[in-house]
Amino acid sequence: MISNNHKNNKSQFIPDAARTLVQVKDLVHVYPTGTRALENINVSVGEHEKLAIIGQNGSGKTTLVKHFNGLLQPTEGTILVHGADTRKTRTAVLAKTVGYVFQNPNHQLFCVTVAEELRFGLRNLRLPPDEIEQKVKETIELFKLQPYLDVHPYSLSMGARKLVAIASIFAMGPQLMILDEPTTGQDYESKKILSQVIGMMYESGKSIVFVSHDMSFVAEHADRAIVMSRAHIVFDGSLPDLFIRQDVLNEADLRPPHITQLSQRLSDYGVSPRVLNVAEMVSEVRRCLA
Amino acid sequence: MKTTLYIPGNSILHRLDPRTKMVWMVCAMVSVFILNNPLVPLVVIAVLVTFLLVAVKGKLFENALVRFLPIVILTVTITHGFVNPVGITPIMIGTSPIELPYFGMMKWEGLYYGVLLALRISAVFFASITLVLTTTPEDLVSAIAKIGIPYSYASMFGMSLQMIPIMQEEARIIVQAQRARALRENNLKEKIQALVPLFVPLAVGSMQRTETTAMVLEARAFGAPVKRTELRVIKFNTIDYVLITAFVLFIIFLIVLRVVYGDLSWMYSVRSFWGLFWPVHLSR
Ligand SMILES: Nc1ncnc2c1ncn2[C@@H]1O[C@H](COP(=O)(O)OP(=O)(O)OP(=O)(O)O)[C@@H](O)[C@H]1O
Ligand SMILES: [Mg+2]
Repeated sequence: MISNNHKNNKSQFIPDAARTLVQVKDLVHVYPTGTRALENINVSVGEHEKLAIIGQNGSGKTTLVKHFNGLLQPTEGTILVHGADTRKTRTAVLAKTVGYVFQNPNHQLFCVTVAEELRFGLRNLRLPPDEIEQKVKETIELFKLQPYLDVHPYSLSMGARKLVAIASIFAMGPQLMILDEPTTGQDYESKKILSQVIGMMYESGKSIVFVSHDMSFVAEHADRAIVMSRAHIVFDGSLPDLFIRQDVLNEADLRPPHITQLSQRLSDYGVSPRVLNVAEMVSEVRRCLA
Repeated sequence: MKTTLYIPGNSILHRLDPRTKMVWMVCAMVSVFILNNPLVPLVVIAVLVTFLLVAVKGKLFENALVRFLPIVILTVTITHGFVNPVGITPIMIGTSPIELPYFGMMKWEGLYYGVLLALRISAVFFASITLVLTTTPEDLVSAIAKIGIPYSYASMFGMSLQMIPIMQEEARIIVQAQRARALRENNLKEKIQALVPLFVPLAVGSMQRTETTAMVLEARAFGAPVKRTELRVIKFNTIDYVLITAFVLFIIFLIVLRVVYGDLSWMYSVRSFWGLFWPVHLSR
């Protein structure tokens, strides 16, 4: 079943968040140093979802997502990717279904040109050469990488390097893209491109899981949020629901985006407190004034 | 994440002045080369390993270099057994010699030499890691500076030591990143091919870090032309004097043996496995 996943393309996908891609059951992870980084985690990621994982530094976010493609093995519990146990399936195989973009792009890039970088994963999947070139071409167009093709990845700016790292994983055609802190160290322009890329990957039928500390970025891109605090999941649900849960926000030291705070303050005047972005605010204000 | 090779503790080794451990290191290295007798390195190793086990317990075996030691020992012993030209007497199992095409037969004299050399290497190795495993990097740097080496060189040494665990951690993350891109390491060929994608980011990363560290050091006035204030003062205690005296007496004893009795080697009379470590023929 897994071996066919990378062939699923835009035309075939069925938007159906109910079908599970990754299923985590009773996961506990203890590092060799004795740190209990995850306790009793139960969560699932469906197909065609935009999921944000939020939480303070050291709350276990990276540890959790590294279990999704077998980079880390559970101390207790099981993780199923499309029904396959990650204990029994190697990361190199799971990589066809689950793409993981590391926080630091420097750990991932090593080829002499950007184009080579895109080919690397596809070669590892043993695709025929013409198919590789086809996928590389598609990826280059989608990510607008034409100007960088023959450039050495290390001579790119941090923003572009991150983009290349994401593209190199995207090219392999995984159904789930995991982005670990994609927005750290990115300027406004890079964030905008990143936003477009996330939108575009979601449009093409993929599930997106991203770890972020940037609440407005989360509000803009996620449909669902998981909040982690001290190795536990303390919230799993929609963003508007999260932003009115004062207990969760306090526990994880989070603050809703400014626009949501504003809508909550104006709720006495009839504005819905569940506003997530400027466009929604405008229509709420219009409605109230009318 | 561990960022130093130092293993915390409060044993005798931890409380010794680092300079005492340096003297110990040098004495251990010199002592094993005075005689051509495997008993000397065996005694030195036994003493060092006993102290180390008391100091850091089973953590000793978590050190990557310690795990690598058996490979070194085997390689040295076997190589010398086959190729060292001192070899004359073939090793017989029943009536047949141990023979390799091209290398010829394994000889007792060569094997004796290989064992001696492997034991010497191990002794030198344990003496060196005693210093590194039981001394905090700060104390190590102070001690090197105290024995007259310019402070900038001393801290350079300290920082290089700290680079080892950092690079180990970095290498681990990079390997994960490559696996996430479906890199396979099934057979030897693929494992070797996988080294290239590991090496490039590791080398680039460490060069960048070195550059940054240099700038940070300057920004924090490292090397300013003033007398440094020492935060941690290291000094000799009675136990340090006692141990240093003991090491020096040990060396003198070995030198006397050498002058009076020669190198105390029984290389040409070894005929059995235990004879490699103990002069069996003499005790009979
Ligand atoms: N390789 C490791 N060995 C030992 N402990 C680790 C390791 N990696 C992480 N930890 C510990 O596990 C806990 C969770 O770490 P994790 O990296 O998952 O947090 P995070 O939520 O991703 O934090 P951040 O926002 O800083 O990225 C932390 O206490 C951390 O110190
Ligand atoms: Mg993290």
